[in-house]
Amino acid sequence: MGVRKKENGSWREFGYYLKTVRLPWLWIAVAFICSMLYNEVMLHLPSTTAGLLSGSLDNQVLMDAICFYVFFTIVLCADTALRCPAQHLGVRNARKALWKRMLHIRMDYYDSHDPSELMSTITNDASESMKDLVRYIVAFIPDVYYTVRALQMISSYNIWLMVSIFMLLPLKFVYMVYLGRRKFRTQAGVYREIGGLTAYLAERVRGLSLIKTYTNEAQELKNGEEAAKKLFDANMRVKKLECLDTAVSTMIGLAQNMIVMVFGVVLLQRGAITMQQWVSFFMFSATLSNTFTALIGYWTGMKTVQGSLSRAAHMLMAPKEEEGETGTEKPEHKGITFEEVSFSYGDKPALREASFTIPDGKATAIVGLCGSGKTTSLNLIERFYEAGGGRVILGGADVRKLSLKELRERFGYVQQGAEIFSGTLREALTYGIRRSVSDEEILAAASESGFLEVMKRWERGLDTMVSAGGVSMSGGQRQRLVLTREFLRNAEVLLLDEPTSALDAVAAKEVQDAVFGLFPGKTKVIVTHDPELMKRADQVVLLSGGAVLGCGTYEELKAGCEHFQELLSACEGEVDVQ
Amino acid sequence: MIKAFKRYTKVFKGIRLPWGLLFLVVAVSVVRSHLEVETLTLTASIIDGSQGSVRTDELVRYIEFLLLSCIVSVAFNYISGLAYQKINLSVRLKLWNKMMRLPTRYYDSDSGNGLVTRVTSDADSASNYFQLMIDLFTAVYAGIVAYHRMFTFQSAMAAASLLIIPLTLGIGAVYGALSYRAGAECRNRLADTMGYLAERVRGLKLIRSFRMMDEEEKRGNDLFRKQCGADIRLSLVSMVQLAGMEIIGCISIVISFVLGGKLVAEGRITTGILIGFYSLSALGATRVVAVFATLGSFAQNTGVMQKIGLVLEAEEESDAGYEMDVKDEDLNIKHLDFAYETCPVLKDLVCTIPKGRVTAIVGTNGAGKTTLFKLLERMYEPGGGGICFGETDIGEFSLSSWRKSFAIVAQDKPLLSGTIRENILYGVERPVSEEELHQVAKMAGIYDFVMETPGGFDAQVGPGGSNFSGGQQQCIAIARAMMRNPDYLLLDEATSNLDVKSERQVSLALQNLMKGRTTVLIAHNYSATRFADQVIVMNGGQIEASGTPEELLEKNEYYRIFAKEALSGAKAGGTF
Repeated sequence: MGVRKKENGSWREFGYYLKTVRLPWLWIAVAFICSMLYNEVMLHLPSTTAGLLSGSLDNQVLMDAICFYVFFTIVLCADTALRCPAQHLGVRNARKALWKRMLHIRMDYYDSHDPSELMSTITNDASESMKDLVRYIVAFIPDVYYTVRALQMISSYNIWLMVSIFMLLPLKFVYMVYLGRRKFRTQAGVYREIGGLTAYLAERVRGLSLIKTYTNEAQELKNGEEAAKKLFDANMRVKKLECLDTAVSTMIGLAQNMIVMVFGVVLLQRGAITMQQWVSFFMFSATLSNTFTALIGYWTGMKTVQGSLSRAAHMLMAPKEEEGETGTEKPEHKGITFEEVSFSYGDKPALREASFTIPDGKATAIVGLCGSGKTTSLNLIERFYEAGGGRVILGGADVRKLSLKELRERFGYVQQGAEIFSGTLREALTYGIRRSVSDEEILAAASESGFLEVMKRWERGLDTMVSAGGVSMSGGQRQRLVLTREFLRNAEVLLLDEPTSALDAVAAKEVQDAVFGLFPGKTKVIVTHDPELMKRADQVVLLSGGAVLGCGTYEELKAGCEHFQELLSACEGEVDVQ
Repeated sequence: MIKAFKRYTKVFKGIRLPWGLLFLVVAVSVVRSHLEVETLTLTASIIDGSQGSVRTDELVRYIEFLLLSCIVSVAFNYISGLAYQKINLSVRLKLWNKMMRLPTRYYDSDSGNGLVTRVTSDADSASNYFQLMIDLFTAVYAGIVAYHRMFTFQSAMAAASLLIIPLTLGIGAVYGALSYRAGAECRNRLADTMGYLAERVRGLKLIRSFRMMDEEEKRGNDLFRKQCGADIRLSLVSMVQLAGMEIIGCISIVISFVLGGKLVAEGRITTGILIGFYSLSALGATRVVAVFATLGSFAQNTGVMQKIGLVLEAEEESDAGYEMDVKDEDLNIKHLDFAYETCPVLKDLVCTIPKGRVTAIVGTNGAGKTTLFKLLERMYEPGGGGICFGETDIGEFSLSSWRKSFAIVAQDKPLLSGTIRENILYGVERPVSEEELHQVAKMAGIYDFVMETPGGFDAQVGPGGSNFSGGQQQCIAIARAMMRNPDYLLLDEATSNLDVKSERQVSLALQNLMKGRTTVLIAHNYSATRFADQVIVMNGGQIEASGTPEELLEKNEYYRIFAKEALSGAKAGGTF
């Protein structure tokens, strides 16, 4: 099986792909046998048909022919039917393997890729690479077999017949290679225009109120029309190429036919071949032409396979999160210490030898301007990233000395946007909880967090569908939902990433109350811009440019740290009113 | 099926169709049918001749015919492609035109989802209707021509071949129905997988943090398995078609050769005619199956066409009314009611927005502040009551002239992709000099950073403004509002979600913008309300209180809490 690669690395990728993705070998074997059988039957088709056509029409020949055709039909159907499970099962296995790797992929790899690109690898590249791969495995050898045997048969009639078949082959080859390239480019043009139109429209639909406010409809109509016209042009380019292809292919086919006819008729008239041989040769020449096309197609299609296969393999080989050894150290309490921790995203330093302690059972606010390293600190605690230098210590144990499972189980995590997956409310509230949770327990938790009030408005209660086609919630409501979930999960340490940003003052207050009311005595790490949250925290850590500039209570920092004063300085305006 | 046709027909109402091209397609397909039959007849005659000696004139004619068929089929491909693409383009443009005229309410409702897909991919199914018609016609016509020729060959055999027709129709119908169902299932499964993956890939961090990898892996595999099953079923359906075609082939062989063989033996027909007969009867079958394949996709696309039809039928905004060439007046809001679907948002709202003053609106999330803005801009129609400009209902002004007197600075994603210049000059119809642009940029506080950006005003803004910070984006949006020079200004939580430094920058720019204009602002911060001439406290879609900030501090509790939150060091505020 030859998927030829230019670079050395590609072979490794290919090998890894084959090793990781379980190919459905049984079905491939079945498909291979069917394909062989089909080609074998095809080899007998011309002579049988020729037998009929050349005029020997006694009953025995006819019965044989009919039996043969029935058999041919069965083989043809079997080949079509049994080849597809191999392909589809292969695609499924490839998706499985890719999805598994995706779930365990290292966060820096994940962050440096566009999510839609990652998704397209799991959906498109998986199916493209696998379908092609299976096709190559299943059909290449049978096609070669057919070609060789057919040529053998033809040459057994007369060697000149074989020569006639080969005469136009170089031309055909060159043409197909050229056409393949052109086709690829024009089709890419269509995809580009569709992409352009989609991006344009998506943006306008989102910004519709802007268009309406600025009464710019006429101009936008013109822009849209242009984008649509470009797509039309690109589509027509594909069509034109198709037409050109039809014309040229027909011409080549015709020329091929002429050559074959001339040779055949001359040989027939000289008595070098029989009528039956002539008819069967004529039929062979047609099918052989198709097989040659297929064989050249294997060659020209190699590049596309290479592309999709290498993208899929690339993802399969992406770095995995290290689980870490377990049992060597055990956290003794729920406090966290940063010991001269440094970290950078590529060349961009995010933390510089930051040292601070988050005491057990207390609330610590991490504050600072955008890009000061707040969220990075949270990421390092949960080991979404590994610290570049220094150590992050949880209850006396280096987080790297704990397995990821052990480590992350201890944390609750509230994201900035309060992320939830679509599904029923019950599923959203119990996501990540492995014990069975009764509805009563969920409702009790919801009433604690104040989410019950929100829920009351929905008739279907816990069966309400949330997001993607179901009810949508405001930011404050989502935050309360997520806090309810954390309450149910009851992890040892709670990490909150800007829980009150993008909320209005009153909603922010409610969420704040929920955070402090639901989780008294739990270690809380809160990344925030909200001075009110800072005030309620037991300790504030001020970061700037990745370094710790101050650490203490809100009052202490306000009194003694000028950087903190600067951060709060915008509040001056309000102070004098007081 | 009749319903499906009606749906298609509705979509084409009011669209100029390329009738000339379509007629040409039909004409070419007629020519093609005849050519095909002639070519086959000629082949038969050549085969007959080849048993004796080959006649050169027949061979030449054969080549001529082949060349001609080649040209005709290329022409058919090109003309039909052009016609279908033109139809798709017109439907696309009609949709886009319609989208621009749809009221905002439409975009909020569920039907607003997928409008983009309607234009980009769904419109491609529009030409299916004509494709089906033409395929159907071609098949019937080609069939008639082929059978006609067969009858001239030998009527008994032709009559026997007619038996194939019901069988072909039966197989075609079964195939059409099966492929319709299997195709639909396949697409649904694919949509499930895509939806699932889109959500999970974006939310990977959550999965990680909650250690749900094994569960998600299982769920993903389950979806992949279902999709694989659907794919396999669809491929099996194509086997039905293949098998059907082969059975028809077998039967026509039996008819041709059993009956034909006898006739040849009796010397009533030649071998050439026998072969010609055989090829002709296969021709019809291929065509019929092709029709059913088109019919399958036609049926599958009726759903899509229905969606397009629904969009095209939706009610449009109307632009009738007076021009806004009147004196500045107060905005009087009179017993205004408004509901999204069945959920009431504004209830009997009464207030006045005085001209030339600054009015600040405060209230909890969901109090109806943003909705009030939308009603002021006439993005929605009031459910009850109304808004008056002086004493004139604002609905009496023409929509475009009404909106032209407003500028809004909204809270999120204010920029469109394009250059900075395009963004600032968005919707400006008069020519703007470079000096004026710079002047406005300076007032909005963007001049310095724009000049530092490579490309200056011609620098590209990424999708959603992604290559500028939140504060910079808002300042560009403020410059855009300044450029418009509106009489009325609506500011929606313009300083939320920014860090301290950017917030100050934005506040300064806003102060410049607000000078001398009637301004309504939705305030997040106490500081933003302190300099307002009037503050309105909204609660549950009603006015809870209104008055000067000082008055409200005394008489309204919500406002007191609002102020206290701020005073105790709350979200850093602007200083207008």
